[in-house]
Formats: sequence, C-alpha cells, structure tokens
Amino acid sequence: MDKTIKTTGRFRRGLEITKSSWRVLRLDKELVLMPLMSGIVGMVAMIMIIVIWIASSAIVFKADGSFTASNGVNIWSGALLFIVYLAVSLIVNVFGAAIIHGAAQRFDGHNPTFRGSLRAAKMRFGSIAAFSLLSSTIGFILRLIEDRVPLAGKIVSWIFHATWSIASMFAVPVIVLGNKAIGPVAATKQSVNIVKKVWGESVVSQLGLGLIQMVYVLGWAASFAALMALLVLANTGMTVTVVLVVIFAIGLLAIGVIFSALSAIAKAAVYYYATTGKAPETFNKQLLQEAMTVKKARKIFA
Amino acid sequence: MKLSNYEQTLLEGWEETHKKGQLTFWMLFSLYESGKHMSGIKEWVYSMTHGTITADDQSMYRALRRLKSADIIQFENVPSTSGPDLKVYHLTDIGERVLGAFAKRNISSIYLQPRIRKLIQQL
Repeated sequence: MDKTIKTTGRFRRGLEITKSSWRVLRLDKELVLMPLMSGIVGMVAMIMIIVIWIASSAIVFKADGSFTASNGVNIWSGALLFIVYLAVSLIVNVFGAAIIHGAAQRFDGHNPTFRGSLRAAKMRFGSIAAFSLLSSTIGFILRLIEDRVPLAGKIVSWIFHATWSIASMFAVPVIVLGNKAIGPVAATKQSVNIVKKVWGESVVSQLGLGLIQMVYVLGWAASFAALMALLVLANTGMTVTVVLVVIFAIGLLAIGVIFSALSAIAKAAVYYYATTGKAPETFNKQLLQEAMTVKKARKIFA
Repeated sequence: MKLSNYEQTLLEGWEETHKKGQLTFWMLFSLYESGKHMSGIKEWVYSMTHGTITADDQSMYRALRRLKSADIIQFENVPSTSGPDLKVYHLTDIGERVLGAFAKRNISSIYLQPRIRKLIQQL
C-alpha cells in the first residue's frame, strides 16, 4: 500500500474523484440497489426488533394508548437498543461493502454485477460483522455517556464520535478489498493510515457530494412547497395532497439512496487512489472511454 | 467560369454544410503537423484551406475543450515572453490513431484514387 501520493492538488483530485463516482454510478446503475436494499432490510430488522421488544414486555401499554418502558427492565431495554445499533451497522456495512467492491471492479476496468458485488461482501461477512460489532459497541457506549453527562461531557462524546467516524472511514474498503480477512482493529489502523494519506481528497469528495445532495434536497423541497401552495390556492382535494406528499417522500428517498451510493463509491475511489497511486484522472479517462457511444462521439466532432 | 447568382447561392449553401464537419479535421490535422496554440491552429487552417475554413475564437475554444475532454488532444502551458502562459495543444496517441484512421477511410482511400483524382482535375 506504499504508493506515493502527491500532497499538492488535493482539491482538484477530490473533484476528479467526485466526477468518477458519478460516472461509475451512471455506468453501473445497479449499484443504487444496494442502499435501497440496505434501507429495506434495515426497516424489516427494526420492525422485528420492535416486535420482539413489545413481546418481551419491555414496553408497557397504558389504557390511554400511550406506552412506556416497564420498570426494572432497563438492562433488557439497553440490550435491545444495542442490538438495534448492531443490526443497523451490520446491514449498512454489508451493503456498503458490496457497493465498494462493485466500484473497485469498475475502476479496474471490469463490469460489476449486483450478485457479484454482494457475493464479495458475503465472503468477508465475518470481518464485516466483527467490525460492525466494534463500531456499534463504541457508538453505543458514546451514546450512553452522552445521555448521562452534562454538556461538556456531551461535547467530548461528540468529538470522540467524530474522531472514530473519520478514523474508521476506510475500514470497510480495507476489509472488502483486501487480499485476506482482517480483524476490526487492524482494519481501523489501516483506515487511519489511509486517512492520513488522502485526508484532503476524502474531505473534498465527501463534502462535495454532501453539498450537491443538499442542493437537490432543497430544490426538491422548494418545488414541492411551490406545488403545495398552488394546490392550497386551487382548493384541490385531500387525495391530491396525499399523493403529492407520497411523491415528495419517494423523491427524498431516491435522492438519499443515490447519494448514499455515490458516497460509498467516492470512498472506494479515494481508497483505490490511496492504495494504487493511480491518479483519479486515469480512472476518469477509463470510465469516460467505457461510457463513450457513437451518439456522444458525434457531439465531440460537431 | 463565372457562376450565376443562383449557382453562387447553391454553392454557398453547400459549402456551409460541407464546412460544418471540416473544422475539427483541419484543427487535428494542424496539430498532427506540430503542436500549436489556438491562434496558431486558426492561422494554419485559414492558410491551408485558402480562407474557406474559418472559425471565431469562441468556437475554436469550445472545440478544443471537447477534444481535450475526449482525450484526443492535450495541452501544456508554455511561458510567453509577452503576457500570460500560452496553452500549446498536441495530439494524444488516441488522437493520432483516430485522425489517421479517419483520414485513411474518408480522404486518402477515396480522393487519392487515380480515377477520382483525374476527375477532380478535370472539373
């Protein structure tokens, strides 16, 4: 992994990486299915956990329909909360690993498939599960501290949380793209080394995508608000309003899913750059060539 | 032989359509000879085509950007004695191969055929 990384031009390389991410997603649209499935599986898991929670009488329903945690089962509630953390972390990391593997395949000039990417994540399931356990344990402990200490303690907890998030940013790429299975601590250490090498490119690409996503969300919300205002003035029925709200929610979900995929692809791109030394312009050119069609070529020579 | 107004109009209409696809070829052809900056490309094309193929600076820059984005040309910044650095454009390996294939398929194998050359010379 000892490839020379230039310290100058980080901003430009970060932008190139962002462009690469868009191109990969356009070439391999099936990668968007990963965050979508992650969301669906996550929701199913949450529903199951809530059902178990209710069934175990950890929640007590009152006559007026409200509910509360039953007395003397705090440990059980805490354990269930931890299981929620773990389940969400595991699901996100498995599907995230699949996207990352798919993107890396594309950077290598291959054509990734949905099944192939999932298979690659499945092959590293043990390591992903171990990392998810570590990650959710840290997250859970920090959350417990946050809930129980005054403001200064909360701030320290947030700082630890942010530090952990940055340090472990490339742990999943290390696990899924490495040559062999690796433990969670070793994966995190390698992730820290990569962050030190390519912190600039990571910040630019993730921040860039975050800003673009915000623009899309605000644009979508503004369009929805304008349309709702027109509907109110036109005094249309409740059905139309409900349909529009559903469309708005679906739009928000679509934006979330697409940018979740893009963020994972960008992470893969930065990891790929850090470990191969191959400049983003190089795999941008590759991607450009793969995406070329006669119709697009006409516009170049017009 | 002097053309009538009608013939002149037909000719100009045809030339305009014909020229539309020509600029890119002549730009790349000029770079095949040697690397040049934008003004140099423009002057070479004007001179070699006897003024029939021309383009404004904006069109030239747009075309150069498109060609660069497709990795057909690349540029290097060369210091200038009078003002800011000049962008000197060159064909890439891809550009050379595509230009060569285009010229062979669409020009030399067609217009340089002895029979066609003879006919052109008779016009």
